[in-house]
Amino acid sequence: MPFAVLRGYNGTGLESLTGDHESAPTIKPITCPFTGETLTAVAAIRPDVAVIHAQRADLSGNVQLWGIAGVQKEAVLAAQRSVVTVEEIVDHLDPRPGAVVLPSWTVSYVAHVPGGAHPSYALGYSVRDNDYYVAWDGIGRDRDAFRRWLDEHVYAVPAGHP
Amino acid sequence: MKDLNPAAVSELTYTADEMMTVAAARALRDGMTCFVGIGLPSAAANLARATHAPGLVLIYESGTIGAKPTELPLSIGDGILAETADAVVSVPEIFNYWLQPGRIDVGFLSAAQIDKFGNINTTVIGGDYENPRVRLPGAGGAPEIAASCREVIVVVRQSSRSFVERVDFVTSVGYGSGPGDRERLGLTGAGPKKIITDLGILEPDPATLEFTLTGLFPGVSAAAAKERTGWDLAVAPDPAIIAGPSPAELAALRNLQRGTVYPPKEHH
Repeated sequence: MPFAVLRGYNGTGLESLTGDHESAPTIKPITCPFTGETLTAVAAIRPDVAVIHAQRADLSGNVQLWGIAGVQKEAVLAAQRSVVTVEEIVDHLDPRPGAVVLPSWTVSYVAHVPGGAHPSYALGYSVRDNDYYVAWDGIGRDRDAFRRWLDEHVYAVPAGHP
Repeated sequence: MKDLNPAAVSELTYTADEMMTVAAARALRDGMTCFVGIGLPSAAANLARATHAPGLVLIYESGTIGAKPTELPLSIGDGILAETADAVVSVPEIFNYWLQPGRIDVGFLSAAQIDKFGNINTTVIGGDYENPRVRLPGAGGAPEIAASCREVIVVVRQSSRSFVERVDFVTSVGYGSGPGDRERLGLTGAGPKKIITDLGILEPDPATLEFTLTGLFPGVSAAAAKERTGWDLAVAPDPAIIAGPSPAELAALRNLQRGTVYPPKEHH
């Protein structure tokens, strides 16, 4: 669908933001055809690619994830292509009540990357590294600190890690 | 670690932040459903659940319904919320099926800046949106929470810079420019009923909806509260003196806060 709907933007400053000069507006007022209410339409995002982390995939590329799913399913289904990193690759997925399943035909690539959510976590496999998030506050605030972080944790990591 | 015993907590030594959190917790009734913002509101909501409101239903924007953390989460994404929740739903679902239909009793929010009509700014300070003096974390789900919860309670430290005549940017609507605005805007919830600060409690004047000082914490004067307000704060004829934290409240709060590291405060 081309948009989602919110109510809470009425009367806020967000209502009048029409995007920067190069891009189309991402939010616009809309009148409900049934009730006449004024609501806010939020334009759909169609990413070229979505990258998410999940607990498990099977050898056919079906993906299973659980816990706080956020908008991970929506991100994969909205994108043209998707990459899913997983904690574990199993022969067959056991059904798990409440889990989100992304069938293999919705997923472009699966990669085995245990701990790939760090400093976030995968429920049942790792815990959230809250100290890292707290430390990030200082790194993200300072451009030099951010550059040093990039050098150490991104550019210095050999391909194929971990 | 061994839990603190209420008998070991001196009633006389507590911080202004602790008093604020205790007062905010007391504003929640047992059995309520509460949409909880991270930080001060989360501390207060969890304190309420640990003391007088064990049946309080905590709902976080990440989709965790009925979360029962034993220590304060750093983020709405913390694993302890999902592990202890009655149900975990997606972000679109928590907004579309639970919040927007008006199922949540109280939205518990904080603010970087708030004005006399309870409008909240968490977007930009100074300048304009494109070129602000300070860019803040942004709206998140707060506009929708402020619109659709049956009522809103705001927990925020009070200063003349953060309590202003009119917010620099309206991120979440309180009463807009005054009576009638929420109805005109089609906002279904009743709006902010209390602002709880580190000095006392403000409530909207029934006629003008302007936030008025109605309660003071022990040792705080109305003059001090006026001093730390950026508009000409009205004071109720006989503001209540709020009781200080009980040993049980303090012990429960300190138990929750152990093991939780908060990021440094924002500098503006």
